[in-house]
Amino acid sequence: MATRTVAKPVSQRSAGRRASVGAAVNGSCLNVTKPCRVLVARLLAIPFLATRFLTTMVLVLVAGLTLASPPASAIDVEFSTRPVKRDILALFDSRSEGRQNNSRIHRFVEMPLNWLGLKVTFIDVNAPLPPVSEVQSYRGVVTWFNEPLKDPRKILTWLDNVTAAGVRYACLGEIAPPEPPGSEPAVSRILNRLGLAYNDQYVSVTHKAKISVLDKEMAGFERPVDKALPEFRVVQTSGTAAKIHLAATVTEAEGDISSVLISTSAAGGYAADAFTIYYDTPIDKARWVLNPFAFFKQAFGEDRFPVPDVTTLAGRRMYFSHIDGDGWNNISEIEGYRETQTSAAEVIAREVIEPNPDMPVSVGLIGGDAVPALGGLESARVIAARIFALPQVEVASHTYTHPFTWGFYENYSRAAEQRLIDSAGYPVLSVMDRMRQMLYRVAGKIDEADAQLRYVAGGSELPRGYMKEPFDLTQEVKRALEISESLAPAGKKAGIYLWSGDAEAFESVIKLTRDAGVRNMNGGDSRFDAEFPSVYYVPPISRTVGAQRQIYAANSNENTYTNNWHGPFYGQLLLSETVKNTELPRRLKPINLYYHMYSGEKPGSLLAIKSFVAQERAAQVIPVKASDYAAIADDFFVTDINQVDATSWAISHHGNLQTVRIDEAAGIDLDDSKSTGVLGATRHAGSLYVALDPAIEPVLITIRQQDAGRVFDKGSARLIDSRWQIQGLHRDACGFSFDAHGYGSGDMTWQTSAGQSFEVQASRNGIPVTTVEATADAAGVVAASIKTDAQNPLQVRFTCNDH
Amino acid sequence: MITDRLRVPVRPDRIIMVTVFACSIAAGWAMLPGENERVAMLEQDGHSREALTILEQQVTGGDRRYRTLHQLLALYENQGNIAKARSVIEAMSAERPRDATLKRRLAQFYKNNDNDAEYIATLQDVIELRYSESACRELIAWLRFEGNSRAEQTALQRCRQKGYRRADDLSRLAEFIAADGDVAQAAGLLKSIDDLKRLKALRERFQLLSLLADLDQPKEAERRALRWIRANRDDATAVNLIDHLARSKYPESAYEVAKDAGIPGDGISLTVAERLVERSQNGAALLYLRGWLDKAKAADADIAIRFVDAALRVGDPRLGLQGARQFGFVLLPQKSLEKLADALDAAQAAGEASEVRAVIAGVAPPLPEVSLAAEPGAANGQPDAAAANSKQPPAGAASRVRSVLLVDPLEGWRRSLFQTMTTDAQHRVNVQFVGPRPPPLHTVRHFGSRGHGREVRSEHQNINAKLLKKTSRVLQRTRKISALRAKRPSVKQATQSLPPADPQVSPAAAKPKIIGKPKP
Repeated sequence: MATRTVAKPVSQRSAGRRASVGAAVNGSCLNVTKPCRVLVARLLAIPFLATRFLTTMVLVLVAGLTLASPPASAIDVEFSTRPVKRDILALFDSRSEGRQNNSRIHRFVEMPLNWLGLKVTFIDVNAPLPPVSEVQSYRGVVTWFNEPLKDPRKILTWLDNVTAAGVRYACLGEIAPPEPPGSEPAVSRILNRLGLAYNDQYVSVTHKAKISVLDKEMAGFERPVDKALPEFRVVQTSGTAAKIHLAATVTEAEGDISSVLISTSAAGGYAADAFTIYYDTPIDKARWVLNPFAFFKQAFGEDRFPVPDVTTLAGRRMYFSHIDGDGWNNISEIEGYRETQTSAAEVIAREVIEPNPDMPVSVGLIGGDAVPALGGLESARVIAARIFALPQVEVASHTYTHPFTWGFYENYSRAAEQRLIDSAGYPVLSVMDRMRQMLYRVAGKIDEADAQLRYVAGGSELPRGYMKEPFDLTQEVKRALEISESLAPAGKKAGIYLWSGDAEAFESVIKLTRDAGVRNMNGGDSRFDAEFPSVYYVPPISRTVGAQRQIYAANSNENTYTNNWHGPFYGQLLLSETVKNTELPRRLKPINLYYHMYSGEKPGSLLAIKSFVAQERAAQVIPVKASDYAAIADDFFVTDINQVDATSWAISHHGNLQTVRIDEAAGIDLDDSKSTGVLGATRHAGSLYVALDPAIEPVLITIRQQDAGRVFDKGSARLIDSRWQIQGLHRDACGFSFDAHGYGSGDMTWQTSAGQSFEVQASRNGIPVTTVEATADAAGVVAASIKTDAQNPLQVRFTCNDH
Repeated sequence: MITDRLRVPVRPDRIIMVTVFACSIAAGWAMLPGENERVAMLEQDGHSREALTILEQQVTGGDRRYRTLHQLLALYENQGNIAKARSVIEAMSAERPRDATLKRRLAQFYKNNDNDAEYIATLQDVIELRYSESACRELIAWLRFEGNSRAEQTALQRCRQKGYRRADDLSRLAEFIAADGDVAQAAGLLKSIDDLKRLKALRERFQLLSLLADLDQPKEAERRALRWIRANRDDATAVNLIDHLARSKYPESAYEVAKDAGIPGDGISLTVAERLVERSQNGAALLYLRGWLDKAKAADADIAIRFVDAALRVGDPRLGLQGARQFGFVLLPQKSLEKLADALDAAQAAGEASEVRAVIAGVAPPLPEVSLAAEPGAANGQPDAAAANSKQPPAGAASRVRSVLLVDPLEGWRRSLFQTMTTDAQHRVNVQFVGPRPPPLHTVRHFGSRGHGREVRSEHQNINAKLLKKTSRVLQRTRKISALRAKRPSVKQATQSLPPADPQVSPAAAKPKIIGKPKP
């Protein structure tokens, strides 16, 4: 039985944690500017250093000494605990951009901000703006205006006040177009705070303009700056506060005019609109010119903090799969199934789900597909029951009547829907069907099947799939979940609700899913491949709708890969490209195999899915349920981070989120001795992914300079990665134990002392299940593979063999 | 006897029967399905594996017919066997190197499979093989999206040689050439586009005007600017073009264009006075402004600001006040009113200055007066009844201003000068516009409903371009007026181009085009 460690809560005591001057001065304060300032201020207060000059000399001396030696607690100073601000306030204009999820900031900016650990709150500029005192709780403000605002003066005044209060401001495009007469002073003040100067000039003919400053880390991210420069507003530098990343110079007879196009400073950043993204009209595609990750990191402060991460669990990239039930009852065209009129759902069950018991999948049944009264089939229930009975399958719902256009149902009118039904074209009927109809009419009877047909939409030309009954919100959510659960083995509850159609759910329906106790997901259509070659096509984690949150799927489904199911049907083979591009140079998303049941209709689409499952089965991933990912994504937004000292952070309310990421981690390592609630850490793309113990709350993470020659104590261990989810890690004299659950064999690696051998025993409720031997290599890495089923939790113990 | 026995009686019906039988045998034989039909039938019946086996056997046996390979390719694609599909289509293309359609299909295959390099190379082959506008457009767009300027420029030139005439792309080629420093070639290219299809985007027009100025062809620049203005009676565009010319090496071109394009009393003709001021011809500018004011109809804020500013710059604040009162103080921003009041103070017109200050202070909020031009009695010193009854501004101050104006000894001369300067232009307009009259002024284009393209962004930026002006010394002197002049149209445009506040009213106008892939 593993013993769970309960961490001490971080209280006021932790506010008095001490940091060493040595650590701060030699750079190991890790870009935390405030702690550094505190340290320096303390040093200046040391009474026996009479003059500032002497103090500086001592600082330099200490710095020099500490550079050559490990961090030492030469002079300890107090450090106040402070919350890490993660909220960004985004202004958008609903008049030109529509709803917030159509806004440029949501579509382009929010994902990079999420990746940096930041959360975005949207405010419509046409609504009352929050007072400055409230905005000060935000880390910064971002705007991206191009179209004329209704009241630019109001926005300018507000931005002027907000930036005057010291809130960072990232400006993409114009500040507040059209800047009204007399607004120059306000514009000038705002720009001055960004280290820039107002200039009343605009360069529209650019053939004489040349790029004078080009920071390749910041500009030319996905597409180089155009040879024929776009037109630009002239913005000049004011002082040295701004770091110029891109600038152009225009040669005129009167002299050269230089303009800043991209800059950042301690107060924020500025990027001229034409140098943010490039959008090509003929091919309808966009790419970033600006590096949004670098830009927002510098604009919103480069102070380091552990970034809540939604891509990784137990040191491995997450894999999850979910199926929307569309096409459940369609007859497969695949040879061998076509002859027997097998449904697509059954093909998927036989070909994909059943042969892969170690690859979990969440299956969302459309309630209407299994309700004959609506137009569904009884046979769908049989297949659903068979699929839901599989242990690797998570029960899910894909709505009751499959709305295609959720917005239509926000203010529902049955009369309006009926008008649409009446005006819709009927499907072309065969001669036999027509004869049958005629006979029914002659006999004076109603053909039930025909009556239903007009209430079943063949595609998205009508607002939902099954329209026999009037739309009912409760039925759409609760009834749908009940149908799925009724077909599952007793006690197996639905875990997630998968949005249908345009996946633009409104607030009250999202709330209903939350009230029903399930997670919700879909939408986003994340792709990053040659067809959609930009991080722009990778959406943020979620969209907010009023007080509710909808989690986006992590990858797109076969619809976008097959030209809306017009072929080529093998298109989803390209999913591997997206998976690869979202892994390096930065891990942006987990792996998500997302498809519909109708993929079981075509040999090409089925092959694409099977080959992807086979590929990921062999990959070093951690398979989880879709609801696990949705839960992690939800908790990204509630996780609190408090900086305890220069190198420590307390993380609370992380709930299901079990990984934090420390970027630019070369030379940095986790300090196991000072951290609590941490399972281990692994490196990927220059970042350190720290695995948290879900059994412990709050967690304290401390980092230190990396010690290449560090030797682990005998028996001590740190998780590198695991295919199973791990919690309740307990280290003892020589060995460690934990609870684990997951899919497939328990492949895991731990960092321990070199050459140490372990007996690894897995047990359930005290009864040993299996035992294996594992020995660490010369680098102290011990790999174990526990071949047993862990879908029901196991207790695992590593015991030193020589203990 | 024997021969008699052997002799079969030849009866016609037997002959017919035998013939029919033989024919039906032959027809049946001919109608037996060939291998390809068999394959098609098998495919249709869902026996694709069997069909594939037959096709593979055929190909192995040396059958390289297009139809066989095509069927094989379709089957491989249907089954998701990309590697084999690729080898088949590449083999087909290799065997028919002159088949542009097949090459196009090969390009599409590469595109579908994320093979960009091969896709571009194959598109280039297609164009070399047989010019196709769509292929050129696709290739150029793709290279542009990649940001490969050099390859894009090469492709543009190659396609142009083959007959590609898409205006947007050729304008971009001109930009590349201009950026390389070949001004003459760039100008020639833009001129040819303008002659054939007319340059649409303001940026392209600016570019051509700049290049023509660089080539010392001011008359050509004037001619084209006038043509654009007359083709599109749009104040904002006209003022922009005139501004642009004023900034060029030949600022007098701006004056010529303004004079020719304007109609007395409109925003374009006001630029004549502004250009006169820039040329330091303040006297003529003053007289022109007085004549212009007489002709001016109800003005918008932009024109009111420009007029007052011009009047102040020529040193006649009273004229500025007259204009302000005529147009309505409400159209003027506080900054302009303050400047006007200061100038009136400096001109020792304390009463008028205090009147303006009262307006600024909001003590006596002014109402726009009825246009003086519309008041038949006003010019003769007979206060209109409506004006007399008007409470704002104070009647005393107004009458004082008018009394000053009415005793102007140069009244007759300035009117004749104004007439001379405007009638020529009017005559030319009348001669050139045979047929229906040009559309009325202020038909500002609606910028907001065009979607998200580069063109639209460029248009938006052109609006903003009017906010922020000038690169030359000439306009440094007129910095403020130009800024104000530029801002006012953009406010007007903004107001006119705004989508409805309530998205329910017109969702299509309110919702921008979503870039990217369709939602499932």
